[in-house]
Amino acid sequence: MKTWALARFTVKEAVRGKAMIAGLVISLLYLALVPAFSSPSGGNAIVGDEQMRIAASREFLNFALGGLNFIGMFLAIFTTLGTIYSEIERGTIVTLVTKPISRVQLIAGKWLGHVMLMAAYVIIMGLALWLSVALGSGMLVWRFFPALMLVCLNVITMVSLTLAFSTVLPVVANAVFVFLMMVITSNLRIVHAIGETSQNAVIMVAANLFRMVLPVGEVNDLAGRIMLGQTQASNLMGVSPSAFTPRAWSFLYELVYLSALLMIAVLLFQKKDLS
Amino acid sequence: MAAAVEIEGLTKSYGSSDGEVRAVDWLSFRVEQGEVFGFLGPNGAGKTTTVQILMQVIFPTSGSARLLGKPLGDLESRSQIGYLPELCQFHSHLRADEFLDFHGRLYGMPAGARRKRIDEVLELVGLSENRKSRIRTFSKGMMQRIGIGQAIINNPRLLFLDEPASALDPMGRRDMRDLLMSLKDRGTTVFMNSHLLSEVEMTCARVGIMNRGKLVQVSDLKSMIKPGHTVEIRAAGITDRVMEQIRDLAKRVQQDDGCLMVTVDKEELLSHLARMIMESGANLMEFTPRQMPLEEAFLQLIQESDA
Repeated sequence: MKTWALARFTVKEAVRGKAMIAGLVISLLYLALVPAFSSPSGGNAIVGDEQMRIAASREFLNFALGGLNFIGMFLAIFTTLGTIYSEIERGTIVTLVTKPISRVQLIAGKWLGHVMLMAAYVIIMGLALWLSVALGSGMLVWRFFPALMLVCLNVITMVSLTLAFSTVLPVVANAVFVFLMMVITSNLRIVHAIGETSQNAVIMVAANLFRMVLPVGEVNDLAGRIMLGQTQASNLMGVSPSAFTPRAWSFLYELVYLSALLMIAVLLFQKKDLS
Repeated sequence: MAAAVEIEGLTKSYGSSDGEVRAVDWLSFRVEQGEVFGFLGPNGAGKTTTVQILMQVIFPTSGSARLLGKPLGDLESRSQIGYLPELCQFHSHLRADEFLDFHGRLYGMPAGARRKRIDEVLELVGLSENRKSRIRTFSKGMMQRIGIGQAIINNPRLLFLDEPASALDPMGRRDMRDLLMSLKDRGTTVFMNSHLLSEVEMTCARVGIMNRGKLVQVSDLKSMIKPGHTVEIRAAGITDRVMEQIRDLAKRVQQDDGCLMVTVDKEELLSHLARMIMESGANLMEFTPRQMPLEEAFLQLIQESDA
């Protein structure tokens, strides 16, 4: 009950925040403009025979999901940034930690609040995209939903990462650190391609290993594969360092990864002096 | 019955460029249940640090403490404790009733009890008319009042107040005293950090004095406010010659609006002083021994401990 009270409070607080309001404006603009930027329909109604319409719908949803993944992670960072550190700086944390709740419950409540908010955001945005395609083309792209769940997982991971570092880093330092990690690990494909072009195995192996530092880029690639139906087991085992296909187990790794982040957050906060 | 507060060898050190600084140095004392205990000391004495350790906002370097018979951090005992921090900072986007409701939830109070208690508390702290106002619109005094509200929402058995009257106006201070007295009557133990000695004098039965991280004294307020060697004299017809004699006898003489405040070194000199005035032919109307006020006792103890 106490964890739930903290979660509800966190949701209310985040919803009132400037980051969320700005995020909602950006999201509405995105929903309005994404058809214009996607290929191949370019904003026009998806027409043609059924096969063409299915392919075009999948491609559009894949493109739109990539954008949602980025906006969702961005929003997750900016709504979670000051979760713990700002409360310490403002002194408001004192009235919370002196109540009959453990510090583990405090972290869990804050985390749960942000996760509920961001998961609701991703699901609502995803449903809006899916419905727009279903109504526009008459195509029901069911494989969109497992891919959407992976995007949801990515957003929850970013919440967990930002929350863990908000126990020790001030808002600006946390923003720079987490954002850089997100950008770098989301663009390792480029690093790998450089390795491939220059036939440098070290760069390719490094790019592959670095995907483990923050698995959101790889899981986003996996979501794309699911959308496009490229999910053959042989492609997804990732046994060859020269291949840069997303590994099927990467989402399981991400689950373990975010659990570890929560444990780190608790360890960092458990014995921290808050004054 | 277990003590409300039991502290044993509590120490808090901070590292600094000059070496180790001990904010709290081997503190040991007890506060019994039902007491209103005043915790005094100059700025930087370590009072707030001590309370923050007891409330687990910070952690001790060494030593231990028990609240209501349970070790620090025990959640069951903490549900019976209230705490008003110094320099209240609250989630200011909340309305007064929302704020108390949130803190009631954190105490695990059921919805019905919470609603009833919120009304009671708002009434007690004088904010009934502001229940729908956002905390960000509150004055300093109102912030202090809502802070007290969150500290007593759970009907605590033990209440820690860190400078509770500092932001209150005289009316607010009187309300605070009344509140403390009603809590005392209900058996609540109150542990009050304060530098407002007059407030402590009016509300506390026992006090502890800290200086430079160390406990200087813990004693009953009555024994601390001892009869002093100062008398207030009202007399007509004191000649210059007698005034000269009084000055020779006294350690200190203050003249104020026809009244003489005379301090002597020894108690025996007081009767000698009275005799001398009467024998001079002056009309002695009042000769009242003054108690040593808490402020004087406090300053004396701090000076002694500094020396």
